Amino acid sequence: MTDFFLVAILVMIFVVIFQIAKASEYVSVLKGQEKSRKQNNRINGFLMMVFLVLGLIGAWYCNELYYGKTLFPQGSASVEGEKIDIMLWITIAVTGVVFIITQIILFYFGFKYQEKDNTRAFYFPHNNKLELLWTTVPAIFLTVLVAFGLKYWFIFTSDPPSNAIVVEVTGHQFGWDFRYPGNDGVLGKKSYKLYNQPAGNSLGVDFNDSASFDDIHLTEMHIPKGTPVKLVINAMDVIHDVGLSHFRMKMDAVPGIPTTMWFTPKYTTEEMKKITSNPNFVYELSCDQICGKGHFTMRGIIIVEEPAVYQAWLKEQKPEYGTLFPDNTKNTLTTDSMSKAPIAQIK
Amino acid sequence: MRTKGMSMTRMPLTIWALFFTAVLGVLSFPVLLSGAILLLFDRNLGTSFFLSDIVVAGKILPNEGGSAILFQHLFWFLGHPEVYIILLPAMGMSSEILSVNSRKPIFGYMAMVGSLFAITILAFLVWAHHMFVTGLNPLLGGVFVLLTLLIAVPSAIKVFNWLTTLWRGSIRFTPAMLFAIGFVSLFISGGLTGIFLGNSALDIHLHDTYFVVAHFHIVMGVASFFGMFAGIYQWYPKMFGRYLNNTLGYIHFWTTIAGAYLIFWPMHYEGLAGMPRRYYDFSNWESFKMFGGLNQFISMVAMVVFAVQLLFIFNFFYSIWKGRKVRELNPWGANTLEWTTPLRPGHGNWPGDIPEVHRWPYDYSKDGHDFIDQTVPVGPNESQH
Amino acid sequence: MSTTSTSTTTQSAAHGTHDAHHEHHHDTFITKYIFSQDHKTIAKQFLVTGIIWAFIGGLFSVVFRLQLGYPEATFPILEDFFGHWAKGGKIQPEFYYALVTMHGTVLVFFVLTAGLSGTFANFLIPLQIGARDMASPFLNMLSYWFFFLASVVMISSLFVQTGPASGGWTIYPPLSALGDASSGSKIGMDLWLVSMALFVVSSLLGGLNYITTILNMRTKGMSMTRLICVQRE
Repeated sequence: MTDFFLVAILVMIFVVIFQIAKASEYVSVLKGQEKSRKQNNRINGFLMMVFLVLGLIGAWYCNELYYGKTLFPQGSASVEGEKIDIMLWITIAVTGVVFIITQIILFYFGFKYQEKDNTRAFYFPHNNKLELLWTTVPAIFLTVLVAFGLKYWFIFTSDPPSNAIVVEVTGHQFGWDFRYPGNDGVLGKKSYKLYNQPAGNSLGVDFNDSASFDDIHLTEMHIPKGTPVKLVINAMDVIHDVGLSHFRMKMDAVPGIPTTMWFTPKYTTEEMKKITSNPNFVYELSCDQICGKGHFTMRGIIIVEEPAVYQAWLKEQKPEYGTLFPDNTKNTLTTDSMSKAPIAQIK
Repeated sequence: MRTKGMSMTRMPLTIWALFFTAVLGVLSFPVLLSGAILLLFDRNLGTSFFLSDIVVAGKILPNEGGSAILFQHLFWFLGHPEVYIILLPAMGMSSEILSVNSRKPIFGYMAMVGSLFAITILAFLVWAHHMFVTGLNPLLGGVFVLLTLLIAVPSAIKVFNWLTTLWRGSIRFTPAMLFAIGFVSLFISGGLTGIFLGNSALDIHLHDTYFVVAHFHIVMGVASFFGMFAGIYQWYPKMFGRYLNNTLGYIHFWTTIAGAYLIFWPMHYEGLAGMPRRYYDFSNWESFKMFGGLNQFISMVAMVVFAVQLLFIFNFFYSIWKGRKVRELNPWGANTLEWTTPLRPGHGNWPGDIPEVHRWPYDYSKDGHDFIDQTVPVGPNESQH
Repeated sequence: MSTTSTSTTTQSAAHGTHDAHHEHHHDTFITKYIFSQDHKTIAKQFLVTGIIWAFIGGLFSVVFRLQLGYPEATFPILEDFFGHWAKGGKIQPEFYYALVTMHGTVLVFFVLTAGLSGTFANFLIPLQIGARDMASPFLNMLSYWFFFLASVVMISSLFVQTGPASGGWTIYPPLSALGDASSGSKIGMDLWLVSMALFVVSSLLGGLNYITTILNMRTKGMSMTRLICVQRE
């Protein structure tokens, strides 16, 4: 019943507006073309200024409301991501100035140069000097932006430092798997052809490869603060994307084409809880490439810890091999192999 | 098939824009077609153009050797020119409408043609800026950053030329003119946010977030739409021999531009917070659920804006039969040739000979005349433009 | 304001006056309004079809914004219209993704390409350059009808059991290649691709026509010096 009323009210509003519009058309015909045109010009010219002022106020007000909800106030949670925030500020400054100036000019000109009695428009077809000016000035500013941007781009896409720990991330419909290389520091080989979910091998790990004996397979990522982490990114089925907004990092996960990305976390999860005044804060990994109906459910959790806490956590983790083949003599849970392998890349 | 005297440099900017649009389309659509055909093959004939190393729904697929990224290259090779196919007609028509309704020549005609040309060429060279986070070779990415930000230069030239066209004009605010001015405003806003996204380092953070959604809606969804509306309001009298209702046109413009900014401006903030696009629900996401109130607001405004478009659609169809009849041949006082045809032009457009053209279409307010249409020969003492 | 110095034709639009150029042919309703080869009629066909698609695509966005704006709420009336796609009055995720995909597809291609270029290129090019019609009115007519066919196929994809394409308007594979990855990637995706193939044909036919019409020089008596004089801008 309420739906019917809603529609009825809507239709009534439309009819009223239409009648007003029709009536005002008759009125303007009666008034004569010249007079109605002048009145329309006055009203719309005035509205130009109103819109400009309200628009600028609105932009300011919107900023008041939502700046706090962006990731700026809390800063980048990765060392490298700080550069992205710097770049954002520089770009906002340049484009912001252009935005304000051009919008003011546009609406002000609309208001100021509306048709006036006894004033003719000024025949001004071209001026090469002006054209040159507003070709070179934007080009210069854009070059500056490009220079900064490319400098940081090549840092982000370069190889990580040699002390980076490696974590493999695999996306599938609809979740994330993380694999740690274990004490030997090497991830065991895997292939999609070895996939065998019923037997517990959802990643297709090659358990004949000795490097996989100590690999740890989890659905939650822990990383230490202050150490670069290199993510090796795979996908099982369709294209996903590892989106790490807090760290300002993002990289597609493509089946058949591994990708990598690296960053250095600055703050532990506990520290972020204080920084953001949010006791529920958690670093989330969002899938940033549409991957099917569960795209929005692909939520990965990343815990950043103090190095000592991370080390303790890592020691407690059991290699996947041990869980899948508990009776096998190649079980890595012997003190023998533990003492032989160096604690690689963890400082 | 241009009439006598209609050299390329006497063509209205609308035609230049439509010409370059057609060039963009003819060269880029076949690539989409090829991608679509290859995809049909992969889907139905067991080929592996785009598929390799896949386990889906518990099944290991036999496809090997394909690249999902190949499709992206094929798609975006059309995809990027496509957005210029959408934008250029709006630019051309807005140039025309701004000029006619300011009673001034469009400023910098040759620069406008040149920038349309530059945009057309560059449109083909920037497609991979949609693919910065696919893991492509960083050097390649860097090249695309350069080319992408290069395309901002002709766009900037056009904006400044439009502003200068308005300067010291004698503006009459028809709905068409309002939509053309609105187009410029929205193109400025949307174009500037493109600069954020074209810089690959920033795109890492902003890719696939609501920042992108805000950007392309402002520049494609609203600005181009405004160009379309401006064109409809301007040429409706020629199409149907009647006027669209003016008051409804004013209501249409002011509510739509206010609504569009209310919808898409705050969206940038969501994007800066990393809020992903194409998400059904954010309630479980600690990082994104704080935008619930804003999402509700945007949805409400969107519904109002949609309802207002219904007003326009009604105006459009109602006025075909019941609109105020056009009584004069040239209601906008324009120089271009379409206004020299009869009120309801039939087959062949001109009943007699096609008029000859002696000048460019932008002689508004020249030498004391309000307008001098293209068919008027140049006088012996007339100044060059 | 002083008077304008223009030369305007004063003939009224008398119905039935034909130019000496054209053969005297009698239009039936079908050849005049349906399979018209007149660029102005074709333009209006593109415009009206574009407006209808804009309404549909806009409606899609209103529906999915209902979900985004009110994720906790249920709207029983939705189930009346959309059945199992909005079970319990709540837009299902598959439906959401189908809406988002089709919103983008419809608006980018069918409204802003066909509806914008198709309308105004067809209407304005011959009129503004001084031509009777396009270079090939027949191919022009085909351009519209291929677009119409593409529209029919795309609409049919909305009504298949497994749903229309739903991997975003960018339809990246493998998601859009594998029916097992998403129900929208079953027959709905094939129909999407066929529709787009027809659409591309329509755009190519149109584009070739526009380029040829504009470029085809009809400048008898236009000497090079006159060209250069005019170009001094």
